[in-house]
Amino acid sequence: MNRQEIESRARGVVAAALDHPLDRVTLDASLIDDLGAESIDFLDIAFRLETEFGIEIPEDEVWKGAFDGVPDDADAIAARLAQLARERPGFAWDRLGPRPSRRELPRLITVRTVVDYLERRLAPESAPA
Amino acid sequence: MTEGRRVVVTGVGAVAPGVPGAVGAERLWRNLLTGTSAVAPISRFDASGFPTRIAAEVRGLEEAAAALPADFTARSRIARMAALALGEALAVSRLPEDEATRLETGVVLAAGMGTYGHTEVFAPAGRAWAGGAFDAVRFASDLWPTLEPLAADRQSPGSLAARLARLHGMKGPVQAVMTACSAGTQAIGDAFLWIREGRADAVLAGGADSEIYPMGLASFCLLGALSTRNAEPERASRPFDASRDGFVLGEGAAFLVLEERARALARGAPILAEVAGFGSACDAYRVTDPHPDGDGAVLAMKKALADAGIEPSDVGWVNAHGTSTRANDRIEAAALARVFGARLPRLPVSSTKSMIGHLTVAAGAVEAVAAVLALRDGVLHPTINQETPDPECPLDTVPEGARRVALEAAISNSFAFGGQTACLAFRRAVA
Amino acid sequence: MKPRRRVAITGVGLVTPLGRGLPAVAAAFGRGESAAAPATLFDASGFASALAAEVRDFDPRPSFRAPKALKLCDRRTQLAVAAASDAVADARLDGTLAPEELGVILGTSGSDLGAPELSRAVDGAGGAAAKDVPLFARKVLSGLSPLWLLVHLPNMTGAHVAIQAGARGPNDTVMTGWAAGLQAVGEGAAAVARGDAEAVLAGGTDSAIHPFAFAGFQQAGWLGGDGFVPGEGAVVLVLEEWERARRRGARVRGEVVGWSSGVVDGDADLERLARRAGAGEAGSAPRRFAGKGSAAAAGRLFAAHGPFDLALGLAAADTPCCVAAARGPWGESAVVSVRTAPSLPEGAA
Repeated sequence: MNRQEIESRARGVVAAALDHPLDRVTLDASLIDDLGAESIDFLDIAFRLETEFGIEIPEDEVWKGAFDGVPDDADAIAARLAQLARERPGFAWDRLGPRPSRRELPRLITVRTVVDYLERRLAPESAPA
Repeated sequence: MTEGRRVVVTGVGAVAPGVPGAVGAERLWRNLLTGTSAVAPISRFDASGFPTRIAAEVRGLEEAAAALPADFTARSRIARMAALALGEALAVSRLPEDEATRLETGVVLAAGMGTYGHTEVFAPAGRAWAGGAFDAVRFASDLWPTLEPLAADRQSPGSLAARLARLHGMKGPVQAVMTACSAGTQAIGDAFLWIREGRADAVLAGGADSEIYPMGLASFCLLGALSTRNAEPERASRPFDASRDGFVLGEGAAFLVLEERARALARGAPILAEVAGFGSACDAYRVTDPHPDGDGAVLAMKKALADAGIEPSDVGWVNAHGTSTRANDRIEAAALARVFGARLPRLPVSSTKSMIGHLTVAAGAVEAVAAVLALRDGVLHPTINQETPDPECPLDTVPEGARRVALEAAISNSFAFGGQTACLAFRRAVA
Repeated sequence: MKPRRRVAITGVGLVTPLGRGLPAVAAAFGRGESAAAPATLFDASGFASALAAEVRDFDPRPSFRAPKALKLCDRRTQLAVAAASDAVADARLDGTLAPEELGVILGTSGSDLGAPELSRAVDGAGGAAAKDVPLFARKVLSGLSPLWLLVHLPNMTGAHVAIQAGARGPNDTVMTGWAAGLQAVGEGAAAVARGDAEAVLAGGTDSAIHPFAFAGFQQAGWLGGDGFVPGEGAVVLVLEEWERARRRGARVRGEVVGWSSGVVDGDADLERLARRAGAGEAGSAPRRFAGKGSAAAAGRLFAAHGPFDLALGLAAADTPCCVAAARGPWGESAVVSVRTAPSLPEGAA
């Protein structure tokens, strides 16, 4: 499955789960801030992705790409965010405030996080043993 | 005449995990004071396929329930537990059995889910999916003969409330309430208001629940709400501890006999404590996420204290909702800080769930029993498994074991999926 | 008992098999219409009777401020949110209360459990799904939506109504069988009377048109007999503190006089409950039980039926005091008595 198809189907899943028209579900939309997701919606989206793509997704694995490896330390979080901001200019970074806590990091989860994850998961060499 | 009516507790009864023979509020209380965990591997069905395989089960129920009338033994586990706990509370209270008393005595029951048998639902469900579609006619024709007796009856907690009232000939108001995990507290609160406002002179109020069956366990596993510390069952329920990872299912029932104080005093009833106030509110925020600042919890606690005429500084113990989930405990601690301010670190806060797990719909009822007996005895039960303090829960959780105190007032919190919050305020009984 | 503060009924929302809104429903009831027809919500052809009284052409979406919540709402919750939204609009209540001044107390009964979803989750397991628990676990944990419990928990109805209406006041879910909705009205009136809330959205909601309900009815011998037609619907009243309602110029449709509940075995018990509900307080004024014949017209609305009859009583202009009574098969009963508009003092209507 190529990235374009993954993206199209993933956006459809997110749009259905969060009840938005497809054009609001852009790659850099934050699931929490822009699309109104709450904690159960992450469970719901993961379940829907499993059904849509015929895969099993271990707990929380989809979302980890957004902020994996960020230690629980204000300076380290700020430094990591600055780096991410250079990598992902399309995301509205200013909404996070100057020194976000680790608990705010799920706000970094975007539709792109989902598509990136799926692309890794569906690549032939990473098929589960 | 409703002016100045006060409400006292004259009896308590419990069917709880860890109690030999299933029934016994006093034995439960001793277990709680000694910090005894009732959590163990699930024994009633093969739980090997679930990520969580531990729970706090009631043992010996069927033997204890053998003496109940047939319409209880045939009905459901919840019905049997409710009838036994109610019977114990009634016996402790020595409530008179005359017609005049029964006319003015009501029943409030917290109950709701969990009344279908596993086979009833899943034998037809397993056969009804055909060719990628649900065959409703097939399902119906399979369901109907699979049903165990009294299906419509079992489906309604209202029928159980009515049966409990009939069992003891009570003719006062009868109600079933179901606000999920806050329902036990809500039921006692409703009963308290009935008596204070003159709708009844006595009420048997409590709750009964068991979610320890395959679909119940599955539904909480799916939400990721349960601890998976399967290798160490007794250490799995650790409310407010930094390493908590979810709640542990318990099951059981608890009932209180509430009575108008003047009547209870006049008949020389045992007075265990006073129910002084009640607060019910709602986050109205999200379906499962609690309000980040604990707005609903704060509202319920403040309303209960104001209703009781108790200052926060007079509260000597909090029986917390304290589920051992990441979110509940953090937000409950934040809400407690908003209500009790700078005094919070010196206010003892215990979670009964650390020992008997989460009795879901019945949790508030069994925790009210704990609050009442703490006030009677002047002793607080601990919160067990306090090993790593969580900086976000800066509480005195009574980690060292039972603590003797001069206790004048206590509150008990219960919060639900859905945002319903409820709080009861109790006072020590004074003759 | 007599309320400490007076309780006005300032709004009514009805989403029922006879129509939506009090004027339409009362008119259909007056014309003697019957909503009974073969069920369309599921294929009921395998049962002794497939008749049901359904709410037709129902679109819940406009009643949800945040439609994302719809995926968590079963039929009875959708009906309740719609009826509550209609009641708030009918009372012109929006913006007149702080969130903590508004309560939600609803009656309901067991859910439909989402049989098709459960069946899909255990797809192919056949009878083994019931016998082999590890197999069941594997199937359900991977095949069932994690939201399943949240859709079927009965208190979610009150949660969704509170979220959509922004109500942080007292929130209770009553499940006393067929008496639940009327008890919720009584508890709501009590909350307003004691000052626990300035207004409460109170009533009942139910939808008994699903396989589990029909199977239970058939087992009990009710289905197909004695005019028993399962129905569905939601009825929500706005109960509001009297002086506040007057001050803001609200249209007062009635006043709650009293309420009671208990186990009823015969007419003497019911009369006792009616007396406790203050039905005698209108003195020698004529009173009547509201909604006579409503089950034949609208089907059985179960938890919503008592409030449905109460609403019909409010629409009847010829009786100063109405008594709504609900009595279920296990004796669970509730009574609420209201003074209707023609008899209200001070020209409140």
